[in-house]
Amino acid sequence: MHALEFRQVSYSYGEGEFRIDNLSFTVEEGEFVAVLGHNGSGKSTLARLANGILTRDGGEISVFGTPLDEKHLYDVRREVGVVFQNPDNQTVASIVEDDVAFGAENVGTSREEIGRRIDFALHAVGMEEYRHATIARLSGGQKQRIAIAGVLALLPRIMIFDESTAMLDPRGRREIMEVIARLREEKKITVLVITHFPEEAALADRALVLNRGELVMQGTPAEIFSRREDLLTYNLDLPRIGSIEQALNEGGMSVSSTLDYRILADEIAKELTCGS
Amino acid sequence: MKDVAFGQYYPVDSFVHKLDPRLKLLFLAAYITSVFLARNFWGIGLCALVMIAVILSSRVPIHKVLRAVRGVVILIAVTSVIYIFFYDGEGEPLWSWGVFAVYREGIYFALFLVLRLFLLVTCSSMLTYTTTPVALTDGIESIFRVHVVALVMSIALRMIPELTGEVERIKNAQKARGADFESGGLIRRVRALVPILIPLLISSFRIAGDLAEAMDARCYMAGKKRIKYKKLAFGPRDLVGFLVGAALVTGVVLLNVYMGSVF
Amino acid sequence: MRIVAEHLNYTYNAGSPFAVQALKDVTLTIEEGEFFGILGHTGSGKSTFVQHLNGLIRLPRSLRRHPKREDPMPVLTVGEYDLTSKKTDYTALRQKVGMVFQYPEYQLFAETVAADVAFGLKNFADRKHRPTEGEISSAVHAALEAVGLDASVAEKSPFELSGGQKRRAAIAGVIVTRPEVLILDEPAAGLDPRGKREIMELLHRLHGDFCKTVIIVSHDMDEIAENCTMSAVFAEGRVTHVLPPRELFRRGEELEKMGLDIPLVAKLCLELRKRGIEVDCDFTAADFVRRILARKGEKA
Repeated sequence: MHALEFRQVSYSYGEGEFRIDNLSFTVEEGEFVAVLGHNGSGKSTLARLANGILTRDGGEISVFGTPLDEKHLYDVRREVGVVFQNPDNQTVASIVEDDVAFGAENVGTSREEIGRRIDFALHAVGMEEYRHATIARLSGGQKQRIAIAGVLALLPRIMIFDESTAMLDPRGRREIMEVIARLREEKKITVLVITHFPEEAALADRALVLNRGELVMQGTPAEIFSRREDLLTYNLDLPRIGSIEQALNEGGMSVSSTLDYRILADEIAKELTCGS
Repeated sequence: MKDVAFGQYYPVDSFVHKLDPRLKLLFLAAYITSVFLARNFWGIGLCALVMIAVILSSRVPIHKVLRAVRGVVILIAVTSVIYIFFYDGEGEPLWSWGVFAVYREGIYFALFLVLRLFLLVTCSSMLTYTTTPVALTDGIESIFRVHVVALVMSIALRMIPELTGEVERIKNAQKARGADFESGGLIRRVRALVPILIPLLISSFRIAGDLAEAMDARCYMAGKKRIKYKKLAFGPRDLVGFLVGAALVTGVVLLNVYMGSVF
Repeated sequence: MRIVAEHLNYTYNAGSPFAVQALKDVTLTIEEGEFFGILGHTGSGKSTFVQHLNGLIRLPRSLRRHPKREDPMPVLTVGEYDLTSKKTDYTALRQKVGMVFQYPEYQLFAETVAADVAFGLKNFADRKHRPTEGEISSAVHAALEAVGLDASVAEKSPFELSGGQKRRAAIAGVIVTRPEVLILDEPAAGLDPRGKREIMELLHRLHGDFCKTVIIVSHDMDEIAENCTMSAVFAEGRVTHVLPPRELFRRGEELEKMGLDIPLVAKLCLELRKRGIEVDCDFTAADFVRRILARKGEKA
């Protein structure tokens, strides 16, 4: 059983407007998948289709075997949490605890259980100390962690991050990527990261590339980023490390196409010290 | 980074903070009633005393409290001037010049008015300083038995700092393009607001859209009953608050009877 | 216009429990003609600093009048404007110092792009010699052309444009008055790779033709490394480094300790040093590759 399955899904914003076209892919339980694409490639639409905020025009979507239809909308939504881009526009309350409670209150069964969910969620994002803090006074990265906690309180098995780091500074971005890694390792949550930062996609098990609503590439991040010409056609950023590797190889060295600068440093060091 | 005094919760842990919001709302009602009932300085003095006790036990710094009053200083000043100079008392005026005459009653009235306004503003701002918007709306919801209103109010309150920040940003951007919001006549000033209001309107729509999506994503279903995490419950602490409120009203009424009215 | 700042301090919400000192004794000189990069985290004071340069944030009055004897007197001059003076003409200053805020597209308001771009031009116009319609129109078109927007968008509503076009239109609305100094706060924020590249190319064009000095505020060190002639690092309200980018990145270790994301080449140099290989590298990837290959050649 797949954690998430899209079968020939299509969606249009209206006559002639942009759409998702015949999109099929699967995500397995516990997997970390990156979705890459330029602005307007349909990658954000994908997140909204997956939990039924947008309704597809055709095809099938299922989550752990449950079809996303009118009858199961809220069951699916509970399983698929989405964290959005803007850290300022996702909170409904002024105080951290009240905001994290919001989702739990929508689906929770008792006060005690909601309390436990809040504890769990704040712990998972490392924000327990801020339980009674005013959200408006937090940093961008902290606000985004609260947004993640608010979604986690629904106890989803899949989390989709829709460019959730795009509006943060490098420190905030690192904070969020660390939280995502922890959710995956400790809570065994299936993760879909929608991004245009190659450094973030590099951390995934698998990457999908969308272009004009179509799935055009699929593979491990290393495979995807080694196809440099293709990425350029789809208007995607090449990881800076890739251009260095390419230039070194063209200059007569042989380094692999790794995305980890430490490995590259090792290989360069080996080439320079051992000689030819 | 700027701060908004209105509706801003002051996050410390205190006796007053922990009181049940419903009790605080009722206390506020009792307090306002007392301030209006008071007919002599003894009564209003008792109200002031209670307010001092409330402020001290709330651990909200005094300058923060005074800041809330700042907004009505002009109102207080203007009305007291009118009372002092234009109140027609009986007997000899203390001082007169042309149409202006100052009577003892005028000064009393002005002083009374100043105290009243001061206490009214202070007690309502104490409520917002010590009660989170969510607790407050929960209290209102519980007293008046309305549901969606509470959520709407909570969101509205949480948007205040954000929209204030947005106005600040847009205003700065237009000022950098030479916009002038401070000079010219009324029409010129109103027209000068257009470059702020339109971007603000667009931002508000964008924020509302984002927020609606985020609420949807967190399984919000309009009309469906939600389990509230924070349940309101009266405790021993609240009994103290209740007794103080009741004692205040009784005290003021008794003082009115025994000490006589100033007026 | 040369910009000189000495001993600047600034505190938000001064005197409240939420007081934040955003600038601490900031001293910095920006020469005319630089493409200057200001680096730092959110909250490092970099945005507060640049807002001083066109008087959106003014020096506290008390400081200007009664400098405490132990505090050195603050200095802030932008070209011929002395911002510590009470008589500064801020309108004239703002015409000379253009400021593009983060997400500038959110400031668009007029019915047409042309009207929006003309907004600043009309505001700054001399009361006695108002520009003619023809003058306005030609200035607007020059600005649109400079930011790479087609003349056909002039009569469109700014809200019909794409994200990248909106940002260009907003920049046109600032450069239309031909400021000598152009300051941009995170000009590439929220854009995709191509959008980022295009905006930086645009700024280089403007630096040559339109504005003598360009100052960008960014937290992306690669962006500063690739574009700037000079840079300053802000951290916790202080200026910690003022160096050309290539010097800056020799100090990768220090900057990394400050929590800044250093450029990839600097990271590689640090890693190679750990492995006993000293590469005296410049900051561009091309330089790095050239030096490594030269080493390899010597070896062979």
